[in-house]
Amino acid sequence: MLKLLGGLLIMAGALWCGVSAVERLRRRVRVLEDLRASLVWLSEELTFRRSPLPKLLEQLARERSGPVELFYREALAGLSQDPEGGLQQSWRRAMVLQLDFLREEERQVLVEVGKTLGRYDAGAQAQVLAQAARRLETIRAQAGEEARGLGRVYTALSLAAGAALVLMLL
Amino acid sequence: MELSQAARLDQAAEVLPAALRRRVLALPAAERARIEELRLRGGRPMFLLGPEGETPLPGTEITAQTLETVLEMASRSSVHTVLDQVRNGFVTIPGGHRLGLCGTAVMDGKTLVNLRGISSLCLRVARQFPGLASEVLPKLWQDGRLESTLILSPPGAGKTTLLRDLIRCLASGLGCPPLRVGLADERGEVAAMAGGVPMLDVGQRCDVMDGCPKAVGMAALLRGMDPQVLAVDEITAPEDVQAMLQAAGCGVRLLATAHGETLADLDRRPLYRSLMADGLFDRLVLIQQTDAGRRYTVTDGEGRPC
Repeated sequence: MLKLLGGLLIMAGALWCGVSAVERLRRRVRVLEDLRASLVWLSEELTFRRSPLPKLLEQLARERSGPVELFYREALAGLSQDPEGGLQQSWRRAMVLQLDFLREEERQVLVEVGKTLGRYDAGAQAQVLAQAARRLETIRAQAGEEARGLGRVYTALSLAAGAALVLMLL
Repeated sequence: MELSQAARLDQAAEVLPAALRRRVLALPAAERARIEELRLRGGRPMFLLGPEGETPLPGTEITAQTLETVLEMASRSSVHTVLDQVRNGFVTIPGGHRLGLCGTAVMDGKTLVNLRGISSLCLRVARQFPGLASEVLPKLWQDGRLESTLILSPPGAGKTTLLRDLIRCLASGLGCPPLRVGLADERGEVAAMAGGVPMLDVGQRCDVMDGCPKAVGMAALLRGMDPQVLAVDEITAPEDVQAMLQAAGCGVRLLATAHGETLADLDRRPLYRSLMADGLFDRLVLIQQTDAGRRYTVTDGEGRPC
């Protein structure tokens, strides 16, 4: 009975490892989609309303959730605390603090956006934002494929590893 | 919101980098209250402009980076919101203070589209002196009716400050019957609107249209707000004159300001000549700087003292 319970616990632990790995992949997809949507929204707001960026960041922090909300909140807080540093600096800092799980390619897209925001006319900014959103859409699609493919692999591997461990211990 | 002159300078200094701001705030309140402008020029110390002229503030060497930072802070990291103003050579910052810009121009044909490098900045502190207009206001009335008035002075002599106080008195009925005033505040310097509320006192019955060219603002006010008095700061374009002519034709009284020192200056400039030829203004207020301070002279349209 004790062996059976131990075996079940090992299997559950292994499955949890696999599921959490899959969840990390899915979270990346969700964050990329949320970031893409927020950049599209920023681009539209800049084109039609030309609102100041602190106001837009505040609205984004209010309307988004999860890491994207924290990212915009951090960027806004950084700008308020150190206006001399400017948006580029607070944007980069927020990215390091709140979106550390993003890969190099995705970070580069955001860094480019940070270099442009608030420094040029609304049209030029909207153009860079639209390009970044398109790039993120491509990355998100790839990440989705990866999450689906690797998700199945991780689940199967975790179950197989759990089963192997149980057999070895028995 | 009432602010002392020193507090207004402190508010304007918020666009300065911390090191410079600390130096300004460390000055005695009485001295801060006298400062009208802060002058920042690349490679030189910051100068404080008061009634006696410009004096340097030692140990405040201005770099190109300082000038860029000030503009970034003035635009709240949103250059796109002030680009139209940059093209006109100044940016209005919260509180109605004006940041004048000078540098290397980027031209598109004959049009200035931006500044590539900034070489000088002039931070002019918005000033409000309640009661300033009390000497002038009674002379602007004839037979129980406000006469259309043009305020004339050289730059920096206090046209906008006088205009603001006249609007405040008229719109609140201070020393005269209250009137509904429509203010076309293109640069946001007269009322300094923030979140729909004027940061500088322009009275109880004043409707403000800001962020658009004066002519557009005047037309919108005429159509939508039914003003009894239409106020506008610094007539600079033929469209402004056209809009004022239209307003005068509707029976609206006008309050406006223009650059110039004497009546003869109006005659020399075609734009103003047409204003006077059309008899748009029945009163002129000339502001002159004297050793004893500013002097206000009110005349009728022909130059006869009132």
